[in-house]
Amino acid sequence: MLTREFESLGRAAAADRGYADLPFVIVPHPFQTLPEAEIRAIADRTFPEIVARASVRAGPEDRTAAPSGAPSHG
Amino acid sequence: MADRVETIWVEDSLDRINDLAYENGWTDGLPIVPPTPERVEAMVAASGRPPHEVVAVLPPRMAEATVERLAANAVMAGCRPAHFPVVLAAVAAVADPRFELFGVNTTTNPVVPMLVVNGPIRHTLDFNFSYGVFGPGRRANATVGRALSLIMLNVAGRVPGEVCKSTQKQPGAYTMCIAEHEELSPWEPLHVERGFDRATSTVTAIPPTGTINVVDNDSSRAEDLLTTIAGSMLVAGSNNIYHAWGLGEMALVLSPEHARLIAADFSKQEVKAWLHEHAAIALSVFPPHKRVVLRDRGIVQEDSVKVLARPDQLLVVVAGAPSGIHSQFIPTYGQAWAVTRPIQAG
Repeated sequence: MLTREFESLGRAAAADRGYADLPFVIVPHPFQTLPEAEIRAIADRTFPEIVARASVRAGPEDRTAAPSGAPSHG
Repeated sequence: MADRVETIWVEDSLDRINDLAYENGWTDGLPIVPPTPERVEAMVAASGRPPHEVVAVLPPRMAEATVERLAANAVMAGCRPAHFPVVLAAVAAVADPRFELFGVNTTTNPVVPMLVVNGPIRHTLDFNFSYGVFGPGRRANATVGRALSLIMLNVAGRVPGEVCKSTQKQPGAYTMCIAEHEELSPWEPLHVERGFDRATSTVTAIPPTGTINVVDNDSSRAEDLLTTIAGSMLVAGSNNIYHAWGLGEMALVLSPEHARLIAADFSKQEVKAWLHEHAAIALSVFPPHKRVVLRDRGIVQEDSVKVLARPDQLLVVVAGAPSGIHSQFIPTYGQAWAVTRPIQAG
């Protein structure tokens, strides 16, 4: 799980370690300076995708596993 | 076995070679020395090690840093073959897990590896440890530090923006390599303090976020000068606050004149203990919400936060001109430890 700003780093680090298909969930950036209510809203909005990404085996066929309506994972 | 470096054939033109290197993102923006096969072979030979030997695996790319790959970057940086063993020791130091190179190379922080050279090699390779020790002018300091920087870019993958997320970085990212003025230090040098024989040459990697000049031209007592130094260490917006959690050291590079004055009354360990006791940031300089966080973390004592959680979190080095009343306090990344490695002659 990454903020948008760190997406390129996360994907590069995963690929360099042999996990090019590692599923990511991307949230907006900046994140840590947002009011708590906004952070909670992002968490609620993102939760279905986190569950989906964490509960399937990574692989090309799983890239569309996020439920419809979940935010894009980039 | 790691792959050998690729040879590219280009027009024998310094301008064309430099354009090619710049266009491919292989440089720090400054011109390079073309890493011809002959120059790389001479660099490798100076190490006495096989070209394909893996010296370290460097994050974030997790690339195998072979002797040959490192040699090519050392050539590009302007190193002479004699400098190469220092570069190899520096790479071994930053690759130690305690240095946390993944974080150093990818963080939003301005941290870069800084090198401190100790031992007889300071003389044999003409390292600067005196006038303008942090500045330009001496080939050994300039090129060894630059070689490490190019290795971070071309081998470790410290590509700005894409992988390296540093918001502003710092000038030390071009090169940051000093040597200790051991002859004018009143105390044992850094490498001896860290367990090496005085006759052994070493390089110590430190992760600074910048330097803070400390001038004091009218203190004539050790404790007065230390009071000025303690006050100069109080930077609420630096990563110092993380040191209070017990992660990593900071550095104090004392001028020989300042060191002489302090040594009249203090051993090096006593300097560390005194600054541990007296360098404390008043809680009042932090915003209210941060005061709560600091209290929750249990690091507030008597309405202040100590910069050093323990005395041994301060590295004390003596460097600079024989006379002069300027020293440097060096705050650091706060999530990495300094590492010292011996320099092995080829």
